[in-house]
Amino acid sequence: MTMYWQRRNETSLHYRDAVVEAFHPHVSESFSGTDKGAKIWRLLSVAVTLFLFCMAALASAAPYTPGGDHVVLARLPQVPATLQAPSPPSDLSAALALARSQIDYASAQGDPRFLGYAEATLAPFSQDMSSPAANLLMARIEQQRHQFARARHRLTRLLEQSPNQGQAWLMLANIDRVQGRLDEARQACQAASRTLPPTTVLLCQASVQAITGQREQAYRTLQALASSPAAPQGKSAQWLNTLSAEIALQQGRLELATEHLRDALQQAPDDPYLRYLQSDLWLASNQAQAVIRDLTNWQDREGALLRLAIAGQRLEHPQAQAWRQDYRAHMAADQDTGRQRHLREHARFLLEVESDPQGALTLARENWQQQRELADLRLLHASAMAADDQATLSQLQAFVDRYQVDDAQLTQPAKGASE
Amino acid sequence: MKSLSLLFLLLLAGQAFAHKPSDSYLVINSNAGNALIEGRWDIALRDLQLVLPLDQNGDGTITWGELRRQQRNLDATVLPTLTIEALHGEQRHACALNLTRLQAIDHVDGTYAALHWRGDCQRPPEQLAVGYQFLFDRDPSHHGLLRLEQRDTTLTAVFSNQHRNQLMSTDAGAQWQAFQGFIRQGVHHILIGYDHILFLLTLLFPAVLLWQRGGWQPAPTITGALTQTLAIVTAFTVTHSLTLALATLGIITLPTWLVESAIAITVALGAAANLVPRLFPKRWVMAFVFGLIHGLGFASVLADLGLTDSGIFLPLLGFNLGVELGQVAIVLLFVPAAYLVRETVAYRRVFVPVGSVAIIILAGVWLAERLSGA
Repeated sequence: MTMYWQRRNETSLHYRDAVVEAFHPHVSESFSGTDKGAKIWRLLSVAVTLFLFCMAALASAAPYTPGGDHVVLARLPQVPATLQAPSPPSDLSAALALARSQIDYASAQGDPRFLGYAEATLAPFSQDMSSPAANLLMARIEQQRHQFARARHRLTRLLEQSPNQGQAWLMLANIDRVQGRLDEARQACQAASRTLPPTTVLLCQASVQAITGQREQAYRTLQALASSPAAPQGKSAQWLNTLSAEIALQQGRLELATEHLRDALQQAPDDPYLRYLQSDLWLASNQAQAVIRDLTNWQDREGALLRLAIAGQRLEHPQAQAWRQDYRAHMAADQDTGRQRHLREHARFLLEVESDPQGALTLARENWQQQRELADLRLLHASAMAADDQATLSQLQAFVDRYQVDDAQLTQPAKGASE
Repeated sequence: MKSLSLLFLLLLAGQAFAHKPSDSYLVINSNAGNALIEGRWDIALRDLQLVLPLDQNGDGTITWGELRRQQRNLDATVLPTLTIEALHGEQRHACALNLTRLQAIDHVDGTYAALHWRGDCQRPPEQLAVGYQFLFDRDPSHHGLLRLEQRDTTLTAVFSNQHRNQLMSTDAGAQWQAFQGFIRQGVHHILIGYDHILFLLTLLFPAVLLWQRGGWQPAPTITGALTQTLAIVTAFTVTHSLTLALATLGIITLPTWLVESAIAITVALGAAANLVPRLFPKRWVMAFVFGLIHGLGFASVLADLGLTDSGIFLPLLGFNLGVELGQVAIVLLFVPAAYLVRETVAYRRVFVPVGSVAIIILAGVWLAERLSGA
């Protein structure tokens, strides 16, 4: 009889849940975990901020009828028509060439639409593993979209079938490095050495060594390589200079980093990665004015907008508020699109522009689940310090200890981040 | 060297893209009870230009005039990539969509065409099945962000290359679903609520009999049996509905242990009445009075189901209806069967008295449990 009584109570509870779900099919999130108070508070602050962003975004959105037929609504990007061809080539090598140019264009211009066009170009050839080249390009697209798991899955499948695909090993090494699986990254670099030239493998290894307790050795290797007769040329020389700059930054030698970066920029003055690295160096050494000079023409790019907003705020620039609003609008538009969000950038914006350490910490923690490069480590560290979150700090310490990460930015935080 | 250029690009992995990816914004307005829906679909001019020859003069810009001149094409080729069907019960009606007005609208990454449209679904939809096929062949990473706006709720969904169809409940559909949910709960509760069933059956045991000459005799006509049954069930229904409503509205509040214990007592008394019918001459009066207590028991279940977000009237009505449906089902199963066997000695002399004694014992155990559990 006791059974009956208990069972009835249980079923009524069970049915209550079922009914609540039936009425609110969209309420599926629940709070769990032990540090509920802090967590809820954090979530709340993020929610309020995002709500305000959304309101700001919505406020401006009302349709209108332009004043006349001559009104210019949009300027199309100056793109070779072939990059937007209505029907993709049916020939594999033509498709590969087109997809490659589309991806290159997407990277150079920071325009993700062209990744989509490239995906369409590759679609007929990337359904199975019969074309390694098509799958390598697809993996590159996925990686650039931060769909790391997908890219990794594709590469592993490809390597099971063709273990001698050096490029696939290299890409796998890179994804593992970006996501903080540093032992696996090292092994993948090693596996690449069976088919790729030694210079390439050295660069791959150095990128992992730099963050696993061997940064001095990695730096020496790079410099030795640069002055050797086998010194790399072109793109790989650019890669070497970039890596050197990043290690110098990691050593806290900002001037040396600037030198290496200058060499890299000489080869590729419009490369977004290098330009943003340059801006971050300027921000770290209190040269916000230089950032504004350098990036003002790039305001249509989110990465540039973020750095302009940071620099503008520090200098109390007349444009500062506009940049901030623009970035907020980008962040709001990024919500609920079902896509991977730019968490690293958004967290940095909350920390450095919005002075919202709790919100920044929430996003930086979420980002840490995806990306574990030094930049992500620094950001999470800075957010946790600002929000005084000891749990996160000790979690980070465990990562640092495990891989013997040695970074001057962590021990003597960049001036910029705390200003 | 090609491989090396790829290598270098690997470095960019951590770098976010600046421009926005391709998204369109689709808003559907639907009002309960209305077969007409309307909405707006904002499509980036950059995306439209892939499927329509927008830049007619090839000067690298799109003017309002150039967009306006494509209005017919928008209606004929772009709007049909959006399909909406109204679901009403088992029926599906395609909603015929028409472009009603073209405007421009600024989103964070530039100007979009704002397509105002209207759709006639013939019947007020309970659910909307929305299909979205725009641009995926050109840009598989394109997304359509859907917002269904209604008076009470706003629902959102995202269309992507892999998810081209969405099923959205309208307010009307959601209310009907909720109502059905409460009916199911009512049926469920009366069927698993052994004590309510037992009370009802106990009262119905003798509905097919007559107390004459100190013993139960078969009722001579089916009319008599049905009249008795109807009187008992009606009386029980009237009063338990009354207290169910009063308790749900918060007018009566009694502790659960007290109500549950009282219910056990009613079951015992109902069974006792079968043994000594002279003390309880009018069974429908018993059903009437004890129904008050059972209604309070139903109310505590309904309260557990949670009413705060869905109002009180519909859940109450639905739940009550469910209870009655369950009750009718029990009566329809039991009474005809009992009527058929009413003349047997086993029914009159064994089933009714022995069953009633067993029920009294069972109810006594419940009572003890419920009192001690309090």
